[in-house]
Amino acid sequence: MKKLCALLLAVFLVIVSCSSAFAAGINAAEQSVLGNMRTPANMNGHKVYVPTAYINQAEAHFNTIDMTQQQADKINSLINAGRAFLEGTGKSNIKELSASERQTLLSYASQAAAVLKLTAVAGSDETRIKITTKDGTVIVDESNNIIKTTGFSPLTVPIAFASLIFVVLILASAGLVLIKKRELKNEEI
Amino acid sequence: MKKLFKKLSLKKVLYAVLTFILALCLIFGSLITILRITFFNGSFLSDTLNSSQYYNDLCVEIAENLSDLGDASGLDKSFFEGFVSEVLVRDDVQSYITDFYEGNPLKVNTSNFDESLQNALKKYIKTNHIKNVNDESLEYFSAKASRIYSNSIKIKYFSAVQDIIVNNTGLLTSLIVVLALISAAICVILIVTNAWKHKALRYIYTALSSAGLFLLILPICVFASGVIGHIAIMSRSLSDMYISILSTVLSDMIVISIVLIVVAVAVWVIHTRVRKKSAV
Amino acid sequence: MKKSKKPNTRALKRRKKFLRGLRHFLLTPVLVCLLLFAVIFAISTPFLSDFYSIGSMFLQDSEPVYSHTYENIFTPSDNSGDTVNAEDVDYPSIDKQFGTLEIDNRGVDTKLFFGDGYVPLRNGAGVYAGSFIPGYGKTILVSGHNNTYFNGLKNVKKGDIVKIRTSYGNYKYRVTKTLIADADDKSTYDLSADKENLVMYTCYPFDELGLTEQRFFVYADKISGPQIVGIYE
Repeated sequence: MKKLCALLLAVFLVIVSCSSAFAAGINAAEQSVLGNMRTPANMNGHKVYVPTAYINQAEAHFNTIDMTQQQADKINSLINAGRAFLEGTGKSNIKELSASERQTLLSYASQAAAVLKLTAVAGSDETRIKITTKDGTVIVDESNNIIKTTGFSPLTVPIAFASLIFVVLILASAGLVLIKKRELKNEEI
Repeated sequence: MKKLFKKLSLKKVLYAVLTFILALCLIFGSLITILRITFFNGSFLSDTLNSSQYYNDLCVEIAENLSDLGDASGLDKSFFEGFVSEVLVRDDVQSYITDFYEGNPLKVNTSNFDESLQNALKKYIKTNHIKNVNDESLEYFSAKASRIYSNSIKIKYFSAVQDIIVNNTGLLTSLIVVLALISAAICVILIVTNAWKHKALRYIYTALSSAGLFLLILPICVFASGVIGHIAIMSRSLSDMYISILSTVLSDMIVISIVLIVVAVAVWVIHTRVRKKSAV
Repeated sequence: MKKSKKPNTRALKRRKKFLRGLRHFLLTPVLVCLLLFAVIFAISTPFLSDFYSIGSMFLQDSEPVYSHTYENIFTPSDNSGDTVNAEDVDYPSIDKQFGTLEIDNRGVDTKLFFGDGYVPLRNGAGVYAGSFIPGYGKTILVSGHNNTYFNGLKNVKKGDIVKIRTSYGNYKYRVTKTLIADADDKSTYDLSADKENLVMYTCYPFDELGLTEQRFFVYADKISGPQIVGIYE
């Protein structure tokens, strides 16, 4: 009887610890992911960064969840693998990647998406990207430009570095069509 | 164990392999046939769009996008009310589909739309006595409106697969013929080489029924999971279109599976009769 | 004398025949079908595993919603104090109204949304999701259409007070300057700033018909309102 009670108590504690009573705030695990996202990739001598806007959107989303260390470790390993892969291609920017190289990045992105239970919404407009949680809550709804314009300004938000949580998901959600047709400008240095 | 190996003669193993290959040929032949009559068939897509809410939803979406553009351009919400003609949209989409399946460049002719827009703008400026008009800004606005219309008419992601579909339609037809011939050849081999004809028919029955079951289980699992309706697509019209197409493909699989199972049962009936005859 | 019971051999034979028939009719096709699944799965897994994992990225748990209604999580607060705990802040997600924005005597009194897509800009002003919310201590980039909710920005002058109300606190900002610049001029905002600053913008010129290349920017510094504390562990 005592053993059964102890077992039930242990199970109850595990269940309680999994529920996110205070999702607000950036815990240590989430900070490690954000820090990793800020680390640039060195693509053939060019330092390529995740745009600040995307890191900020990641931070906004992390304020609504409680990422576990296990999840963070998994995502960080995917980011590191993606960065190493990009650096190993010998290319100077993502525009130069071959179809099979993009496929590899997409598979990293899909693994990261599975960890955080995210959905990439296939766009009706090539210039818009939407990422939601599995229940439909929007966490990224990004168009071409930070300063909203519907004129002919060139792309001002560079997809310079495939952040495995957001930027590569953006590549995934927009598909290869987006990569082919977008003009990548203004790599942040 | 020895009894088991005694039963498994080389002939029986060969017949089992032939049966398996026959089942595979039936499955792939059916799937390729379904592809050929759906994705690789222009009239299928036109019929699907005509029988769904696609055009209605598309017109609503175009109007909403143009209205947002109007908000950003200083136009009244009423400017784009009733502006998008379903007749025009239907014609332009049909032209796009025709160009797609004929391998032509996928360009949308927006001249009718542009003309309507210019006329509406002139009338709006005159009626509202608007003085602050910059030709360059209006040109940008018109070009963007035209691009919104054009992008809405184009069926997303189709351009990426046009080459595959146009270049492989003939190949699919050839594959169907080849697989049908292989299936027929296997049936003939089974019947001719087997002393007991009823056993040959049993092998054919096994291939037909297992292929039918395979083609039945797959779509039932997909329908039961409800995954089709859970595809995240930004546009309602596009989402409805893909759901209609996928539902039709899965329904075709069920129909073909039922046909295979019915034929299998018929073969079984013949098998029992032949068996009784040979027993006598 | 006991009579020996002989087994009913005919019935037994019939039963054996029936079972054999059932095996051939039902069991064998099912087994072959399972074998087909196994073989096709084994052959296709190297090709389809990537496709499957990428494909599953486009699936939601429920049907997508195409409604244009928005959720309002704003309830007026009386917190104008110095701090608010992060755990007391209901961080908004995109397309949700989480506050109001008002500039006295300038004709600006609008709902405030998180995100600046179609839904927010149709119904009010939107905070760019790559920026932050009031109290976070970073840049708040807000946009609105010049012929609707942000038309009043044309009247704004240096020194005007901008009031933002949220469920977790009430904020005031003082306008420091206005600026006319190109939409693609990236020097007009700094998303990595570590000091709280409010940047509002709309299309410029205000009453011009068509799509303009320029924007009218209004910059404001925070003067009061609770700072969100306990964000970073």
